[in-house]
Amino acid sequence: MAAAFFRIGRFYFYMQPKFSFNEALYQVLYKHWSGQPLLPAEQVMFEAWIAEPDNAAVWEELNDEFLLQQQLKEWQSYDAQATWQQFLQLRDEATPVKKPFISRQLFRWSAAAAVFAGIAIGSYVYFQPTSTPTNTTVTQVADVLPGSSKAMLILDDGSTIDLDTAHNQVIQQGSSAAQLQGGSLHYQNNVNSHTIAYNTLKTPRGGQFQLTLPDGSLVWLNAASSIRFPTSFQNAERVVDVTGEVYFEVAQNVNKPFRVNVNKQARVEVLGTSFNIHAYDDAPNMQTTLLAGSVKVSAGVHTALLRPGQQAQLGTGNMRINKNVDIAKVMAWKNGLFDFQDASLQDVMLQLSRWYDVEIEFRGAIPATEFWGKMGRNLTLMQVLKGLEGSGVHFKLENNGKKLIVLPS
Amino acid sequence: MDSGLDIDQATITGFSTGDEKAFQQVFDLLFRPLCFFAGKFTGQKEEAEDAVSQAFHKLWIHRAGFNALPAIRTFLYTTVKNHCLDLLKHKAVVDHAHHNIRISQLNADSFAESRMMQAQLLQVIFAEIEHLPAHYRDVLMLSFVEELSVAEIAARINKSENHVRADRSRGLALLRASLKNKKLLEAALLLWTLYEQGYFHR
Repeated sequence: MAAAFFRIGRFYFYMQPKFSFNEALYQVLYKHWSGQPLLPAEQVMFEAWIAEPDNAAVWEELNDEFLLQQQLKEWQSYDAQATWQQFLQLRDEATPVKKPFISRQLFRWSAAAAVFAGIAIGSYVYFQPTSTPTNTTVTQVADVLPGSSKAMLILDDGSTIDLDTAHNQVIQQGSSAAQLQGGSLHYQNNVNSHTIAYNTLKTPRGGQFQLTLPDGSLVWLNAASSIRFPTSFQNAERVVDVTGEVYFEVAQNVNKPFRVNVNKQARVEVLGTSFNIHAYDDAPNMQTTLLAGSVKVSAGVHTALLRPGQQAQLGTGNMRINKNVDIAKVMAWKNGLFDFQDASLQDVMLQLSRWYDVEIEFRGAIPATEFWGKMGRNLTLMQVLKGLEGSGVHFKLENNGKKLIVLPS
Repeated sequence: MDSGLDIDQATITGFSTGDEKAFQQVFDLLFRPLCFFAGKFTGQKEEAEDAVSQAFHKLWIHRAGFNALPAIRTFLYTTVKNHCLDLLKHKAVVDHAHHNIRISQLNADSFAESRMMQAQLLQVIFAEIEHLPAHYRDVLMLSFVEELSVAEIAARINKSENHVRADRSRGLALLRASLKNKKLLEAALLLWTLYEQGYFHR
């Protein structure tokens, strides 16, 4: 069945009303399968259906004697009793469980020193109520240092400046100037410029950076993220492009709306405000979370006006508004923390992978473990892994600290 | 006319108000087609059953919002499909450590619609096996469900292997023929009767 579709970044959107069951088609197929003659209109319907390769394969399986036998065997192999029990277990476990209290106090990342006195980390394991945390092996090899302020600045002419090795300095481009200071870059408002030059600031995996745009708007880039912006905002709109995870505190200017293009396709229109965009390619969905003010998120046919505390989640073909967002969790990265509240093992590993620039490999089944608690992003990888030990997850660091293996529990 | 089976309104009402027995009826009815559907994505029995139990858990949470079987069915298939796609995506992430493996959503959807259709058709087809003449039915069930070889079946029912092979082929042909003059609605009612008789129960 042909569906109109378009793509935004890694997401496909399709205009088909929804994934649904075609009752009329089902009748026709049944009729045909059992050898009853089809009416001309039904014949047309059938032919359109079978023209699709997926459907042709299904039809073949339904009509081949041997394949039909195989399907019956598979059909009967599913264990209703076990699945029903599993459902009951999920249902009964899902009733709220009291979790240990963990301080929600936030820290500024600028105080990057060892401000994280405590590490609180825990987990609970689904489906394995009897399994108790066992000895966790953290193989002693070279430790991996946490990420730090690292970024690359790409100038309008394509030349690059490595900001992690550069000393504090003023970067002059034509009539515009930017002050590099520690882990941040401040553009000065430049009203005299007549040409528009674009710069791109890019953080690597294991890097983060802070930027002040020429209009005074503040931008924080998480690891593996980028922002492209003009060195002075001369157009009617202030437009920037981002990838990865970026937090904005936009300077108010009613005469010049601020707009963020995300992964080139979705966009966030800002009406003066603080918000976080999470748009990693390897994350299941793209999230825009509003802290203050107001933003309008649009992607193709979907648009949403967010209120403070709300989050727009752009998934496969849909946009959801989450009205009950844990802001502290969303903003943890900017405040120098990992927040593993309700995170799955995969989520945790994705975060570690970006910050410590390690490759993750799951050996065997992925344990269905959920975590809670916070950890400082200034810890070394080994310290974080030690913290995760309590959950009974086993790790091994290989390849000179470049590869982290999650062992089967 | 509905697609293969229906549940009376009283059951649906019981279902949405949290009657576990009514909920279990819905489970029994849709469990196998959903597992079969999930199995087409996961290729693995336990993962398929996992996906289905989780979908029913979601359905339980949202049960109050449903008042008809087609909506329940669409919800379950959609949830199972999304769960399986997530599973595949995670596998891809894990296998390729942060290189973006993109499962084409477009293909996934056309694939899912095909397989949903297949699962629903199989349900009507397989329900009919019960109505075959006894010895055809026995040969089919021994062969497919108990996974006995032709020789084992021959020994069990005291017939030649050739005879068993012939009966098995003929059984399938009869299956098709017996559905031939049935309207789908009848098949649906038949299925419901079988369900009530406990054919689909554990």
